[in-house]
Amino acid sequence: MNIDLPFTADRDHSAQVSRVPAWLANLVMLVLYTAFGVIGLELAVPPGYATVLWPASGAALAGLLVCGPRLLPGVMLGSFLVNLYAGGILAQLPRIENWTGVAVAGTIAIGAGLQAFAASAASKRVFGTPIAFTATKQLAGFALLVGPLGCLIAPTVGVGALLFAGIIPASLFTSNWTTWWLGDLLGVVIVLPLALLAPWSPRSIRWSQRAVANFSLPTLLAILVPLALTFYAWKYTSSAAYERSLDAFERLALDHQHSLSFRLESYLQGLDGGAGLFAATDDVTLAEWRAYVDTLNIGSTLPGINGMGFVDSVPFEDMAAFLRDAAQDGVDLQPHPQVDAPANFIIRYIEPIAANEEAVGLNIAFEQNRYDAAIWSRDSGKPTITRRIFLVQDETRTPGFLFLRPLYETGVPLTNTLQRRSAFRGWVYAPFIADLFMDGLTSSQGETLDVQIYDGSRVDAEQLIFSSNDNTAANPTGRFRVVQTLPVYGQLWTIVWQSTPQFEQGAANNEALLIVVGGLVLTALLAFYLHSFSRREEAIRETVALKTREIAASEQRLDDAIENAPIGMALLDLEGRWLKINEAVVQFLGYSREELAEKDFQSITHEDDLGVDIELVQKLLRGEISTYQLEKRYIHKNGHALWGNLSVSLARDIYGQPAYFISQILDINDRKQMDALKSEFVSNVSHELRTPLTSIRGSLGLIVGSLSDTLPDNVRHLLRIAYKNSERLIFLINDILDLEKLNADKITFDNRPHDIAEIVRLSIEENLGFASDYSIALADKTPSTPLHASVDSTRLLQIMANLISNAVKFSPAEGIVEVGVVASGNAATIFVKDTGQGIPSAFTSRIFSPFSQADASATRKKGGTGLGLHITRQLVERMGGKISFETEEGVGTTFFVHFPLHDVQAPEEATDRNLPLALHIEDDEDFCAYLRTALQGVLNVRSVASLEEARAMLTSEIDMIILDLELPDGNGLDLLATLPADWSGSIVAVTASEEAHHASFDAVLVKSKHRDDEVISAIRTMADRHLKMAS
Amino acid sequence: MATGNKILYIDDDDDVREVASLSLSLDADLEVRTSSSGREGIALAAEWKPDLVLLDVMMPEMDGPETLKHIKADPELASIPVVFITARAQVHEVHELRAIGAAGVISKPFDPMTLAAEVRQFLG
Repeated sequence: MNIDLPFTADRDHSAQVSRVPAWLANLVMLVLYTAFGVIGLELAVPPGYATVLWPASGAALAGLLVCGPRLLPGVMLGSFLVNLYAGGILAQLPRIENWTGVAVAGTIAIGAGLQAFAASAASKRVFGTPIAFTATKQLAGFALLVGPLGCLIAPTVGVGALLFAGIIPASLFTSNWTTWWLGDLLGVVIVLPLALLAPWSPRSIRWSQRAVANFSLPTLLAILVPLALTFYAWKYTSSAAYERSLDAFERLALDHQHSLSFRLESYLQGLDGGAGLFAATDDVTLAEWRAYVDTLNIGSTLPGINGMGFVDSVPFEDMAAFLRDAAQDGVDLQPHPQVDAPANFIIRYIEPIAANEEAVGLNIAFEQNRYDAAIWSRDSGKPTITRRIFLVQDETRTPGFLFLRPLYETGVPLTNTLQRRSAFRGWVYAPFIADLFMDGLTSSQGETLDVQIYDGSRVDAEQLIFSSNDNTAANPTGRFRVVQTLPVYGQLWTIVWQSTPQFEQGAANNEALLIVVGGLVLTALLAFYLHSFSRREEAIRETVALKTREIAASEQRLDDAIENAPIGMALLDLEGRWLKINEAVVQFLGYSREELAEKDFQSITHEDDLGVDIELVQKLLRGEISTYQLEKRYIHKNGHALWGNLSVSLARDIYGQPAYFISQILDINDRKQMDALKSEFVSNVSHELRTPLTSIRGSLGLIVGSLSDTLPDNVRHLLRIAYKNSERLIFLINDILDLEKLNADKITFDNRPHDIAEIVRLSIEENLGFASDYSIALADKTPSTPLHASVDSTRLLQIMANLISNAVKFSPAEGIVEVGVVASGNAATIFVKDTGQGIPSAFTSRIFSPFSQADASATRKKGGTGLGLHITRQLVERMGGKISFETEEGVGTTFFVHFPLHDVQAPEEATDRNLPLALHIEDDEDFCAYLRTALQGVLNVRSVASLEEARAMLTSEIDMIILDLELPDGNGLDLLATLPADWSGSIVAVTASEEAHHASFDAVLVKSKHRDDEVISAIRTMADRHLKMAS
Repeated sequence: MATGNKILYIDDDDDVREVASLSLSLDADLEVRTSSSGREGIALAAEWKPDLVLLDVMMPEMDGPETLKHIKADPELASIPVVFITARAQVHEVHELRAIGAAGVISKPFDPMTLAAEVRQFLG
């Protein structure tokens, strides 16, 4: 479908856009950005600073693409507000403490604005306004431009600002930047199309010259809802996963913490064991101590312990004795370091000696931490660890500590410091190197869990006791973190547990990702489907509109064609009223359309043609015919008659019922006038010719007829020639006139039922004279039984005359021409048989054509005009008959004329049942025809030509008898005797004779006295009277 | 029924009149007079009182039908049967002539040998 929507889209676009005042637009942008920003924040999943989806960036870009850079203030202000909110500054208003935060927010806002501006400007540059694509490659280019490329600015500015402000460490720059960039990218990808194609936004994307249709509101909702659900589900799942992971980690941390406590406790038990040894004996020798430690097997039972020993608290004055004592024991003590110490706390024993050689003889009071812990332990009686120290025996110089357990005289009260001091014997102690001590504390340590132990109550890198991972200690990046400050045997340790990538991997919430991806994909599919669905709807609507326009145009063309057609075209309802007419009809009839709409065709049809027209209409309605054609006269508005050639057909509805008439009217008036003029001319000429011919034929006829005896032979002979030819001329003129009448359709046939046999006999009689001139005998082959057919008797006689004269002329002298009629099937066949030379086969196809006698010389010899057979055939066919012939050269020719037989009981004239029935007995056929026509509408007239026929027709149905008293087979009075007794009709006698009276006659009309019209009106009066009586 | 044998023939064509008279005179019982115009013919008819008037149609000044009208208008002449003798003898023309009161129509050219008999028919 290649509809090119008009460029109103563009005009709408800029018109709509420019109509909105800048402040309003910016306000809207501000609100939208803020709203989107808050949504974005809601989608944040800890612990990052950036969120995975930042819809606001998409909204900002959409705004600038549609409304231009004047929306920048709104964007930047919105971003500023959102970031103030995110930084918790808004909550503090009107107090502002965190000016850094404000500055950062401002910078981020500038970054957001810059990004939106740059992306929109680039897009406009490359793709124009409104955005126009013509290929998928361009779409990809656009996506690349506003997406990955376009989203570079804000993260850079934003995370840079955060970094600059010290809010995030440099180590986290990349991850934050990436998340920010992804968030903006996703925001653009999701929000930009929605914003550009939202139902209320001006059409701002064009694809291949066509504006891309916006989403309909339902579509938009159908996209937003799954999208929102997706992100909600994602957030929920992510949070839940996070909580789970956090939970798991905390358990790990707790587990670790317990392991630590347990380990320390077990070491204390070791020390307690040592203390027990000392309590059990007065003095513990080195060997005894060594044995004890060996038995302990601290290597495997107390992992991490560097050794176990005893620290003696030696008063300064007792130092020498102490040394002597130790030497005796085999312990060679070299007290060290040689510094001024507040006391002498000498390590007397430490086993295994191998790892602790440097510790033997060490005065732990030399160092503050050791000293403090020792003093405190002595005075409190509680086992104590030192603060962070470096063991002298530790070559690696890594942090460590001492675990000191005070030992007292047994059996003495130890309730206070003084008592303890006085009972004090020394400390059983264990040195620890932190790394060794912590090694393998739990399986998770160093694997899923990184731990840092700090001496003190806070995280202080200077006081790091132990770190399972030096990198993370400096740059803590673990997602999960537990920090605890615990009292550990007189000290405070701050322990930081952090999740390792290994832990985080294990805790990865792939399901959330799946949800996001799946949700986005489904939403995209849904959006695409819905959009194409509504586009299809729109396409269908456009197609329908187009098709409707096309149909309307085509209808218009059709209407125009009909309207301007050169022939009149009209539709009429079943009553004949004009429904629709074209210009040609208007011009033809002279009425305006409005005037014609009031009329029906009957009112503008000439009265003489109306009957036939209506009859044909009725046949059409009855389904007897499917169309008809009629040459008829219409009455022009000016009153004059116009000839038109009417063609009518009937349109039916879907049920097959008549619906309306379809008429075409061709103006044939000119042709008719021409024909009339031609006819008239021919007629005139023929008549003009006849007048002199009257004299010629008359004179010659008289001479030849009555004066020939007085003439010399040669004169008579010549005159005879002249006479014959003058007759021939007359025949020719008659034939020409007949032909002209036939062509002009002027010949009317008075077809009535006749006894064909009778007419044939009559024709034989009429032509006997002619035949005898040629010495030909006519043989009567007619049957005695009547054969009734509907013919015009005058014309039939003319036909017979032609056929007989041809037969006679072409028969050899002394020949016989047979004339007769037979019944064959349901037809009467008249035959005329001669014994002439026959018709040569070359001419058989042409004998009915005018002027085509077989032989021109034969024509001259035989007389005749050459028109005879042509006219004869026309006459035969016009009467509903057929003419044919059989010929055999040298033998003869027979012509056949067939007429369908019909039952005399069923007359052919259309009769109006309501009119009285009259029987007209008259042998003058002209008068019969005249009377019948004149009394149309008054009487139904049946005519017969003889008494015999009349008797056959006399039934009680006859209301009136019009009786010529001078009939060929008798006097009309004879009929009266045969009337039924109960017959009560009227009798009108029409006679040439004056003396005709009879009681039965209701009226007598004398032909010579009364004009024909007087006869008619008299009969009419009687008919009316009869009707009155009857009703 | 008109009896008698006085025939008045009105026709402007001299030749035809002569031929017709001669034809009619073949019947010895018929007495024939002719006139060359309607006006003259009417005057002659008024005076001579023919039993039948034979009338041409196409005549100058007063044509056949008009002549007929005058004849029929005159009460003394109205009863005389008038037969037209004319080249214009088609069916509708015959009807028209009958309608205005003609007793019949004989067509031209007539057969001179049968004219008398035809005319007799109208005489009774």
